[in-house]
Amino acid sequence: MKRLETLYSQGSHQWQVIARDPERATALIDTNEYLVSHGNEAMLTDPGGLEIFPVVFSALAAGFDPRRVKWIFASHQDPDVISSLSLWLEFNPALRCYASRIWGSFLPHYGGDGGTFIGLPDEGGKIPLGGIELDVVPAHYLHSSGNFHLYDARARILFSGDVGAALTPPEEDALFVADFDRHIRHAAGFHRRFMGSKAAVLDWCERAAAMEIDLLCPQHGSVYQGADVMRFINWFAELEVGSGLRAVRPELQQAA
Amino acid sequence: MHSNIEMAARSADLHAIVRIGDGIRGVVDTAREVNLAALNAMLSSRRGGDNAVGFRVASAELREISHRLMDAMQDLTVLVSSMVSEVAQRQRRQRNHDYFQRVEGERARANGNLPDILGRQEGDMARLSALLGQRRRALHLKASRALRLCDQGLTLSRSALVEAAYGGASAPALKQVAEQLAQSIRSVAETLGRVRAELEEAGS
Repeated sequence: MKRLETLYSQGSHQWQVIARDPERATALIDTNEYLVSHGNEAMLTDPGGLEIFPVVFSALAAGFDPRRVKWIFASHQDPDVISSLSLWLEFNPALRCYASRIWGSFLPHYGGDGGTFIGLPDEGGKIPLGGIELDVVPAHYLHSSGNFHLYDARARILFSGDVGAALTPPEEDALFVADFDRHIRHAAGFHRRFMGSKAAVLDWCERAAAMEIDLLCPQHGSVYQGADVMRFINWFAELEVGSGLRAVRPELQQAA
Repeated sequence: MHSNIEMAARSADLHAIVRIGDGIRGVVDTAREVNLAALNAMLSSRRGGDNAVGFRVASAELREISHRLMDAMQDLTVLVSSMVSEVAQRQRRQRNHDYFQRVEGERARANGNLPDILGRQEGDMARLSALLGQRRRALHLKASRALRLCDQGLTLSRSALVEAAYGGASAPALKQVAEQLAQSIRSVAETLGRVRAELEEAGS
Protein backbone atom coordinates (compact mmCIF):
# COMPACT_ATOMS: atom_id res chain seq x y z
CA MET A 1 0.00 0.00 0.00
CA LYS A 2 1.27 3.45 -0.85
CA ARG A 3 1.35 6.07 1.85
CA LEU A 4 1.48 9.84 2.00
CA GLU A 5 4.68 11.18 3.59
CA THR A 6 5.68 14.77 4.22
CA LEU A 7 8.95 15.99 2.68
CA TYR A 8 8.64 19.66 3.55
CA SER A 9 6.24 21.66 5.66
CA GLN A 10 6.33 25.36 6.44
CA GLY A 11 3.02 26.94 7.41
CA SER A 12 0.48 26.09 4.74
CA HIS A 13 3.25 25.26 2.25
CA GLN A 14 3.90 21.55 1.91
CA TRP A 15 5.49 18.90 -0.26
CA GLN A 16 4.26 15.38 0.30
CA VAL A 17 5.08 12.20 -1.55
CA ILE A 18 2.99 9.13 -2.27
CA ALA A 19 5.70 6.56 -2.56
CA ARG A 20 6.61 2.89 -2.25
CA ASP A 21 3.99 0.34 -3.11
CA PRO A 22 5.33 -3.11 -2.26
CA GLU A 23 2.00 -4.65 -3.26
CA ARG A 24 2.03 -3.26 -6.78
CA ALA A 25 1.66 -5.68 -9.67
CA THR A 26 5.17 -6.75 -10.61
CA ALA A 27 4.70 -5.78 -14.25
CA LEU A 28 4.27 -2.13 -13.25
CA ILE A 29 7.12 0.24 -12.53
CA ASP A 30 6.67 1.93 -9.17
CA THR A 31 6.14 5.67 -9.28
CA ASN A 32 6.40 8.61 -6.89
CA GLU A 33 3.57 11.12 -6.90
CA TYR A 34 4.31 14.48 -5.28
CA LEU A 35 1.63 16.66 -3.79
CA VAL A 36 2.56 20.34 -3.58
CA SER A 37 0.13 22.39 -1.55
CA HIS A 38 -0.09 26.03 -0.59
CA GLY A 39 -3.05 27.73 1.05
CA ASN A 40 -6.15 26.00 -0.14
CA GLU A 41 -4.76 24.68 -3.41
CA ALA A 42 -2.71 21.63 -4.30
CA MET A 43 -0.95 20.31 -7.38
CA LEU A 44 -0.22 16.65 -8.03
CA THR A 45 2.83 15.84 -10.14
CA ASP A 46 2.79 12.86 -12.53
CA PRO A 47 -0.26 11.21 -10.93
CA GLY A 48 0.57 7.86 -12.50
CA GLY A 49 -1.06 5.19 -14.57
CA LEU A 50 -4.58 3.81 -14.58
CA GLU A 51 -3.69 0.65 -12.71
CA ILE A 52 -2.18 2.43 -9.74
CA PHE A 53 -4.95 5.04 -9.44
CA PRO A 54 -6.76 3.17 -6.62
CA VAL A 55 -3.66 3.01 -4.40
CA VAL A 56 -2.58 6.58 -5.19
CA PHE A 57 -6.06 7.93 -4.52
CA SER A 58 -6.38 5.83 -1.34
CA ALA A 59 -3.06 7.11 0.01
CA LEU A 60 -3.78 10.72 -0.92
CA ALA A 61 -7.37 10.86 0.32
CA ALA A 62 -6.47 9.12 3.59
CA GLY A 63 -4.35 12.11 4.60
CA PHE A 64 -5.50 15.04 2.49
CA ASP A 65 -8.72 16.47 1.13
CA PRO A 66 -8.51 15.44 -2.55
CA ARG A 67 -10.92 18.23 -3.52
CA ARG A 68 -8.08 20.68 -2.84
CA VAL A 69 -6.14 19.21 -5.76
CA LYS A 70 -6.83 21.78 -8.47
CA TRP A 71 -3.90 21.09 -10.76
CA ILE A 72 -2.01 18.22 -12.27
CA PHE A 73 1.53 18.66 -13.54
CA ALA A 74 2.53 16.12 -16.19
CA SER A 75 6.29 16.15 -16.75
CA HIS A 76 5.74 14.37 -20.05
CA GLN A 77 3.30 12.16 -21.93
CA ASP A 78 4.15 8.62 -20.84
CA PRO A 79 1.37 6.28 -19.58
CA ASP A 80 3.06 5.76 -16.18
CA VAL A 81 2.94 9.56 -15.82
CA ILE A 82 -0.58 10.51 -16.75
CA SER A 83 -2.76 7.67 -18.09
CA SER A 84 -4.92 7.90 -14.92
CA LEU A 85 -6.06 11.37 -16.02
CA SER A 86 -9.60 10.27 -16.93
CA LEU A 87 -10.11 8.95 -13.39
CA TRP A 88 -8.88 12.15 -11.74
CA LEU A 89 -11.22 14.08 -14.03
CA GLU A 90 -14.06 11.79 -13.07
CA PHE A 91 -13.41 12.74 -9.46
CA ASN A 92 -13.04 16.43 -10.27
CA PRO A 93 -14.00 17.53 -13.80
CA ALA A 94 -12.65 21.04 -13.07
CA LEU A 95 -9.05 19.79 -12.71
CA ARG A 96 -6.57 21.45 -15.07
CA CYS A 97 -3.46 19.73 -16.32
CA TYR A 98 -0.14 21.40 -17.15
CA ALA A 99 1.97 19.70 -19.80
CA SER A 100 4.21 20.62 -22.69
CA ARG A 101 2.23 22.28 -25.44
CA ILE A 102 3.51 19.69 -27.90
CA TRP A 103 1.40 17.01 -26.19
CA GLY A 104 -1.80 19.05 -26.43
CA SER A 105 -3.42 16.78 -28.98
CA PHE A 106 -1.88 13.56 -27.62
CA LEU A 107 -2.87 13.75 -23.95
CA PRO A 108 -6.65 13.85 -24.60
CA HIS A 109 -6.24 10.18 -25.60
CA TYR A 110 -6.00 9.60 -21.84
CA GLY A 111 -9.06 11.76 -21.12
CA GLY A 112 -10.05 15.40 -20.86
CA ASP A 113 -10.57 17.88 -23.64
CA GLY A 114 -9.24 21.20 -24.89
CA GLY A 115 -10.31 22.87 -21.65
CA THR A 116 -8.40 20.40 -19.46
CA PHE A 117 -4.90 21.14 -20.67
CA ILE A 118 -2.70 24.16 -20.19
CA GLY A 119 0.09 23.89 -22.76
CA LEU A 120 3.47 24.93 -21.41
CA PRO A 121 5.76 26.81 -23.82
CA ASP A 122 9.18 25.31 -24.56
CA GLU A 123 10.95 27.93 -22.46
CA GLY A 124 8.93 27.05 -19.32
CA GLY A 125 7.85 29.83 -17.00
CA LYS A 126 5.94 30.24 -13.78
CA ILE A 127 2.67 28.66 -12.69
CA PRO A 128 0.50 29.82 -9.80
CA LEU A 129 -0.46 27.74 -6.81
CA GLY A 130 -2.60 29.19 -4.04
CA GLY A 131 -0.98 32.65 -4.20
CA ILE A 132 2.63 31.61 -4.83
CA GLU A 133 4.46 30.65 -8.04
CA LEU A 134 6.38 27.55 -8.99
CA ASP A 135 9.02 27.47 -11.73
CA VAL A 136 8.49 25.25 -14.75
CA VAL A 137 11.97 24.10 -15.76
CA PRO A 138 12.58 22.91 -19.34
CA ALA A 139 14.09 19.43 -19.52
CA HIS A 140 13.40 18.55 -23.13
CA TYR A 141 14.83 15.27 -24.45
CA LEU A 142 15.32 14.03 -20.87
CA HIS A 143 13.81 11.71 -21.95
CA SER A 144 10.74 13.05 -23.71
CA SER A 145 10.97 15.66 -26.46
CA GLY A 146 8.49 17.83 -24.56
CA ASN A 147 9.60 17.49 -20.95
CA PHE A 148 9.43 19.74 -17.87
CA HIS A 149 10.52 19.69 -14.25
CA LEU A 150 9.03 21.72 -11.43
CA TYR A 151 11.12 23.85 -9.07
CA ASP A 152 9.91 25.32 -5.82
CA ALA A 153 12.36 28.03 -4.71
CA ARG A 154 10.62 28.42 -1.35
CA ALA A 155 10.99 24.74 -0.43
CA ARG A 156 14.21 24.32 -2.48
CA ILE A 157 12.77 21.20 -4.06
CA LEU A 158 13.12 20.14 -7.70
CA PHE A 159 10.68 17.58 -9.07
CA SER A 160 12.84 16.04 -11.78
CA GLY A 161 10.55 13.57 -13.56
CA ASP A 162 12.60 10.74 -15.01
CA VAL A 163 15.92 12.47 -14.30
CA GLY A 164 17.38 10.81 -11.22
CA ALA A 165 15.04 7.85 -11.56
CA ALA A 166 16.35 4.52 -10.34
CA LEU A 167 14.98 1.01 -10.61
CA THR A 168 15.95 -0.19 -7.17
CA PRO A 169 15.55 -3.72 -5.78
CA PRO A 170 13.07 -3.99 -2.87
CA GLU A 171 15.82 -4.22 -0.22
CA GLU A 172 17.22 -0.83 -1.33
CA ASP A 173 13.88 0.83 -1.96
CA ALA A 174 14.15 3.52 0.74
CA LEU A 175 12.45 6.91 0.41
CA PHE A 176 15.80 8.76 0.53
CA VAL A 177 19.09 7.79 -1.07
CA ALA A 178 21.24 6.44 1.77
CA ASP A 179 24.39 5.44 -0.11
CA PHE A 180 24.86 7.41 -3.33
CA ASP A 181 27.45 5.10 -4.93
CA ARG A 182 25.35 2.05 -4.22
CA HIS A 183 22.12 3.73 -5.35
CA ILE A 184 23.42 5.21 -8.58
CA ARG A 185 24.18 1.74 -10.00
CA HIS A 186 20.39 1.28 -10.22
CA ALA A 187 20.04 4.58 -12.10
CA ALA A 188 22.88 4.15 -14.59
CA GLY A 189 21.29 1.78 -17.12
CA PHE A 190 18.05 3.73 -17.18
CA HIS A 191 19.78 7.06 -17.79
CA ARG A 192 22.14 5.68 -20.45
CA ARG A 193 19.22 4.25 -22.40
CA PHE A 194 16.37 6.72 -21.75
CA MET A 195 18.28 10.00 -21.97
CA GLY A 196 18.86 10.55 -25.65
CA SER A 197 20.93 13.73 -25.89
CA LYS A 198 24.26 14.59 -24.28
CA ALA A 199 23.74 18.26 -25.15
CA ALA A 200 20.38 18.21 -23.32
CA VAL A 201 22.01 16.53 -20.30
CA LEU A 202 24.78 19.15 -20.06
CA ASP A 203 22.34 22.03 -20.53
CA TRP A 204 20.12 20.69 -17.76
CA CYS A 205 23.07 20.01 -15.44
CA GLU A 206 24.35 23.56 -15.88
CA ARG A 207 20.96 25.04 -14.97
CA ALA A 208 20.33 22.58 -12.13
CA ALA A 209 23.76 23.29 -10.61
CA ALA A 210 22.85 26.97 -10.39
CA MET A 211 19.65 26.27 -8.43
CA GLU A 212 19.41 25.94 -4.70
CA ILE A 213 18.14 22.39 -4.29
CA ASP A 214 17.76 20.56 -1.00
CA LEU A 215 15.70 17.70 -2.43
CA LEU A 216 15.80 16.32 -5.96
CA CYS A 217 12.64 14.28 -6.38
CA PRO A 218 12.43 11.84 -9.30
CA GLN A 219 9.32 10.04 -10.51
CA HIS A 220 10.86 6.61 -9.80
CA GLY A 221 13.15 5.52 -6.97
CA SER A 222 14.62 7.34 -4.00
CA VAL A 223 14.82 11.09 -3.35
CA TYR A 224 18.27 12.74 -3.38
CA GLN A 225 18.96 15.12 -0.51
CA GLY A 226 21.72 17.45 0.60
CA ALA A 227 25.12 16.78 -0.97
CA ASP A 228 23.72 13.86 -2.98
CA VAL A 229 21.90 16.38 -5.19
CA MET A 230 25.15 17.85 -6.52
CA ARG A 231 26.71 14.37 -6.63
CA PHE A 232 23.90 13.34 -8.90
CA ILE A 233 24.24 16.41 -11.15
CA ASN A 234 27.99 15.79 -11.53
CA TRP A 235 27.45 12.09 -12.18
CA PHE A 236 24.78 12.84 -14.78
CA ALA A 237 26.97 15.41 -16.56
CA GLU A 238 29.69 12.80 -17.06
CA LEU A 239 27.42 9.96 -18.10
CA GLU A 240 27.46 8.75 -21.71
CA VAL A 241 23.83 8.63 -22.78
CA GLY A 242 21.96 7.36 -25.83
CA SER A 243 23.12 3.75 -25.44
CA GLY A 244 20.15 2.52 -27.47
CA LEU A 245 21.93 3.62 -30.63
CA ARG A 246 25.01 1.61 -29.70
CA ALA A 247 22.85 -1.46 -29.11
CA VAL A 248 21.99 -1.56 -32.82
CA ARG A 249 25.34 -0.14 -34.07
CA PRO A 250 28.08 -1.96 -32.07
CA GLU A 251 30.80 -0.30 -34.15
CA LEU A 252 29.89 3.00 -32.46
CA GLN A 253 30.76 1.42 -29.10
CA GLN A 254 34.32 0.82 -30.31
CA ALA A 255 34.61 4.29 -31.85
CA ALA A 256 33.46 5.99 -28.62
CA MET B 1 -5.94 -5.86 -11.89
CA HIS B 2 -8.66 -7.11 -14.23
CA SER B 3 -8.43 -10.73 -15.20
CA ASN B 4 -8.35 -11.51 -18.89
CA ILE B 5 -11.52 -13.59 -18.43
CA GLU B 6 -13.39 -10.59 -16.97
CA MET B 7 -12.21 -8.37 -19.79
CA ALA B 8 -13.21 -10.95 -22.39
CA ALA B 9 -16.69 -11.22 -20.86
CA ARG B 10 -17.08 -7.46 -21.02
CA SER B 11 -16.07 -7.32 -24.63
CA ALA B 12 -18.66 -9.98 -25.58
CA ASP B 13 -21.11 -7.24 -26.60
CA LEU B 14 -18.51 -5.71 -28.86
CA HIS B 15 -17.76 -9.08 -30.48
CA ALA B 16 -21.50 -9.66 -31.03
CA ILE B 17 -21.79 -6.24 -32.69
CA VAL B 18 -18.82 -7.02 -34.92
CA ARG B 19 -20.54 -10.26 -36.03
CA ILE B 20 -23.80 -8.35 -36.70
CA GLY B 21 -21.87 -5.76 -38.72
CA ASP B 22 -20.23 -8.55 -40.74
CA GLY B 23 -23.68 -10.03 -41.43
CA ILE B 24 -25.02 -6.67 -42.60
CA ARG B 25 -22.09 -6.22 -44.96
CA GLY B 26 -22.74 -9.73 -46.29
CA VAL B 27 -26.40 -8.85 -46.93
CA VAL B 28 -25.44 -5.66 -48.75
CA ASP B 29 -23.01 -7.59 -50.99
CA THR B 30 -25.58 -10.26 -51.83
CA ALA B 31 -28.39 -7.72 -52.34
CA ARG B 32 -26.09 -6.04 -54.85
CA GLU B 33 -25.74 -9.40 -56.61
CA VAL B 34 -29.55 -9.76 -56.63
CA ASN B 35 -29.83 -6.33 -58.18
CA LEU B 36 -27.38 -7.20 -60.95
CA ALA B 37 -28.96 -10.62 -61.53
CA ALA B 38 -32.41 -9.00 -61.74
CA LEU B 39 -31.09 -6.46 -64.24
CA ASN B 40 -29.58 -9.29 -66.24
CA ALA B 41 -32.92 -11.13 -66.06
CA MET B 42 -34.79 -8.07 -67.39
CA LEU B 43 -32.37 -7.80 -70.32
CA SER B 44 -32.62 -11.55 -71.04
CA SER B 45 -36.40 -11.35 -70.96
CA ARG B 46 -36.33 -8.81 -73.80
CA ARG B 47 -34.92 -11.55 -76.01
CA GLY B 48 -37.92 -13.73 -75.02
CA GLY B 49 -40.29 -11.14 -76.52
CA ASP B 50 -43.96 -11.11 -75.46
CA ASN B 51 -43.64 -14.63 -74.07
CA ALA B 52 -41.33 -13.33 -71.32
CA VAL B 53 -43.46 -10.37 -70.13
CA GLY B 54 -44.32 -12.13 -66.85
CA PHE B 55 -40.66 -12.93 -66.23
CA ARG B 56 -39.74 -9.31 -66.89
CA VAL B 57 -42.29 -8.05 -64.36
CA ALA B 58 -41.07 -10.48 -61.68
CA SER B 59 -37.45 -9.47 -62.36
CA ALA B 60 -38.27 -5.76 -62.05
CA GLU B 61 -39.99 -6.40 -58.70
CA LEU B 62 -36.96 -8.35 -57.50
CA ARG B 63 -34.75 -5.44 -58.45
CA GLU B 64 -36.94 -3.13 -56.38
CA ILE B 65 -36.67 -5.53 -53.43
CA SER B 66 -32.88 -5.57 -53.69
CA HIS B 67 -32.91 -1.74 -53.48
CA ARG B 68 -35.16 -1.84 -50.43
CA LEU B 69 -32.89 -4.43 -48.80
CA MET B 70 -29.84 -2.22 -49.35
CA ASP B 71 -31.69 0.76 -47.85
CA ALA B 72 -32.71 -1.36 -44.86
CA MET B 73 -29.08 -2.42 -44.36
CA GLN B 74 -28.03 1.23 -44.39
CA ASP B 75 -30.42 1.87 -41.48
CA LEU B 76 -29.02 -1.15 -39.66
CA THR B 77 -25.46 0.07 -40.20
CA VAL B 78 -26.30 3.42 -38.57
CA LEU B 79 -27.80 1.61 -35.57
CA VAL B 80 -24.77 -0.66 -35.25
CA SER B 81 -22.41 2.35 -35.28
CA SER B 82 -24.37 3.89 -32.40
CA MET B 83 -24.19 0.60 -30.51
CA VAL B 84 -20.40 0.41 -30.89
CA SER B 85 -20.10 3.90 -29.41
CA GLU B 86 -22.45 3.08 -26.52
CA VAL B 87 -20.79 -0.25 -25.73
CA ALA B 88 -17.41 1.53 -25.65
CA GLN B 89 -18.82 4.19 -23.31
CA ARG B 90 -20.30 1.56 -21.02
CA GLN B 91 -17.02 -0.36 -20.93
CA ARG B 92 -15.15 2.83 -20.02
CA ARG B 93 -17.68 3.58 -17.27
CA GLN B 94 -17.37 0.02 -15.98
CA ARG B 95 -13.58 0.21 -16.01
CA ASN B 96 -13.56 3.52 -14.14
CA HIS B 97 -16.11 2.13 -11.68
CA ASP B 98 -13.79 -0.82 -11.01
CA TYR B 99 -10.86 1.48 -10.30
CA PHE B 100 -12.86 3.63 -7.87
CA GLN B 101 -14.18 0.51 -6.14
CA ARG B 102 -10.60 -0.53 -5.46
CA VAL B 103 -9.95 2.63 -3.39
CA GLU B 104 -9.27 1.42 0.15
CA GLY B 105 -9.85 2.87 3.59
CA GLU B 106 -12.97 4.43 5.08
CA ARG B 107 -11.40 7.85 5.38
CA ALA B 108 -10.21 7.87 1.80
CA ARG B 109 -13.63 6.74 0.58
CA ALA B 110 -15.36 9.47 2.58
CA ASN B 111 -12.87 12.23 1.63
CA GLY B 112 -13.09 11.16 -1.97
CA ASN B 113 -16.87 11.30 -1.90
CA LEU B 114 -16.83 7.82 -3.42
CA PRO B 115 -20.45 6.79 -2.75
CA ASP B 116 -21.60 9.69 -4.98
CA ILE B 117 -19.06 8.90 -7.70
CA LEU B 118 -19.87 5.17 -7.70
CA GLY B 119 -23.61 5.93 -7.71
CA ARG B 120 -23.22 8.28 -10.67
CA GLN B 121 -21.18 5.70 -12.58
CA GLU B 122 -23.75 2.98 -11.87
CA GLY B 123 -26.53 5.31 -13.04
CA ASP B 124 -24.63 6.01 -16.26
CA MET B 125 -24.04 2.30 -16.86
CA ALA B 126 -27.73 1.51 -16.28
CA ARG B 127 -28.73 4.29 -18.71
CA LEU B 128 -26.32 3.00 -21.36
CA SER B 129 -27.51 -0.59 -20.87
CA ALA B 130 -31.12 0.56 -21.33
CA LEU B 131 -30.14 2.47 -24.46
CA LEU B 132 -28.33 -0.58 -25.84
CA GLY B 133 -31.43 -2.67 -25.16
CA GLN B 134 -33.52 -0.18 -27.18
CA ARG B 135 -31.00 -0.27 -30.03
CA ARG B 136 -31.03 -4.07 -30.03
CA ARG B 137 -34.82 -4.13 -30.20
CA ALA B 138 -34.81 -1.59 -33.06
CA LEU B 139 -32.21 -3.68 -34.91
CA HIS B 140 -34.27 -6.82 -34.36
CA LEU B 141 -37.37 -5.10 -35.74
CA LYS B 142 -35.54 -3.86 -38.83
CA ALA B 143 -33.91 -7.26 -39.39
CA SER B 144 -37.36 -8.90 -39.16
CA ARG B 145 -38.75 -6.45 -41.72
CA ALA B 146 -35.83 -7.18 -44.03
CA LEU B 147 -36.53 -10.89 -43.62
CA ARG B 148 -40.13 -10.28 -44.71
CA LEU B 149 -38.72 -8.56 -47.81
CA CYS B 150 -36.70 -11.70 -48.43
CA ASP B 151 -39.89 -13.79 -48.18
CA GLN B 152 -41.44 -11.58 -50.85
CA GLY B 153 -38.25 -11.96 -52.89
CA LEU B 154 -38.37 -15.75 -52.62
CA THR B 155 -42.02 -15.76 -53.77
CA LEU B 156 -41.10 -13.53 -56.70
CA SER B 157 -38.11 -15.67 -57.60
CA ARG B 158 -40.40 -18.74 -57.65
CA SER B 159 -42.79 -16.80 -59.92
CA ALA B 160 -39.85 -15.87 -62.16
CA LEU B 161 -38.94 -19.56 -62.38
CA VAL B 162 -42.51 -20.41 -63.43
CA GLU B 163 -42.60 -17.55 -65.94
CA ALA B 164 -39.24 -18.65 -67.37
CA ALA B 165 -40.91 -21.82 -68.65
CA TYR B 166 -43.03 -19.63 -70.97
CA GLY B 167 -39.97 -17.97 -72.47
CA GLY B 168 -39.92 -20.04 -75.62
CA ALA B 169 -36.43 -20.38 -77.04
CA SER B 170 -35.06 -18.22 -74.17
CA ALA B 171 -36.61 -20.48 -71.52
CA PRO B 172 -33.36 -22.30 -70.51
CA ALA B 173 -31.45 -19.02 -70.14
CA LEU B 174 -34.31 -17.40 -68.19
CA LYS B 175 -34.55 -20.45 -65.93
CA GLN B 176 -30.83 -20.20 -65.16
CA VAL B 177 -31.17 -16.52 -64.25
CA ALA B 178 -34.26 -17.20 -62.12
CA GLU B 179 -32.41 -19.94 -60.19
CA GLN B 180 -29.49 -17.61 -59.56
CA LEU B 181 -31.89 -14.98 -58.20
CA ALA B 182 -33.56 -17.50 -55.90
CA GLN B 183 -30.20 -18.67 -54.59
CA SER B 184 -29.03 -15.13 -53.84
CA ILE B 185 -32.27 -14.27 -52.02
CA ARG B 186 -31.98 -17.46 -49.94
CA SER B 187 -28.42 -16.47 -49.04
CA VAL B 188 -29.62 -13.01 -47.92
CA ALA B 189 -32.36 -14.61 -45.83
CA GLU B 190 -29.91 -17.00 -44.16
CA THR B 191 -27.53 -14.18 -43.27
CA LEU B 192 -30.35 -12.02 -41.89
CA GLY B 193 -31.61 -15.00 -39.90
CA ARG B 194 -28.16 -15.32 -38.29
CA VAL B 195 -28.09 -11.57 -37.54
CA ARG B 196 -31.51 -11.80 -35.87
CA ALA B 197 -30.48 -14.87 -33.86
CA GLU B 198 -27.33 -13.01 -32.73
CA LEU B 199 -29.49 -10.11 -31.57
CA GLU B 200 -31.81 -12.45 -29.68
CA GLU B 201 -28.84 -14.12 -27.99
CA ALA B 202 -27.27 -10.77 -27.06
CA GLY B 203 -30.57 -9.59 -25.57
CA SER B 204 -31.26 -12.76 -23.57
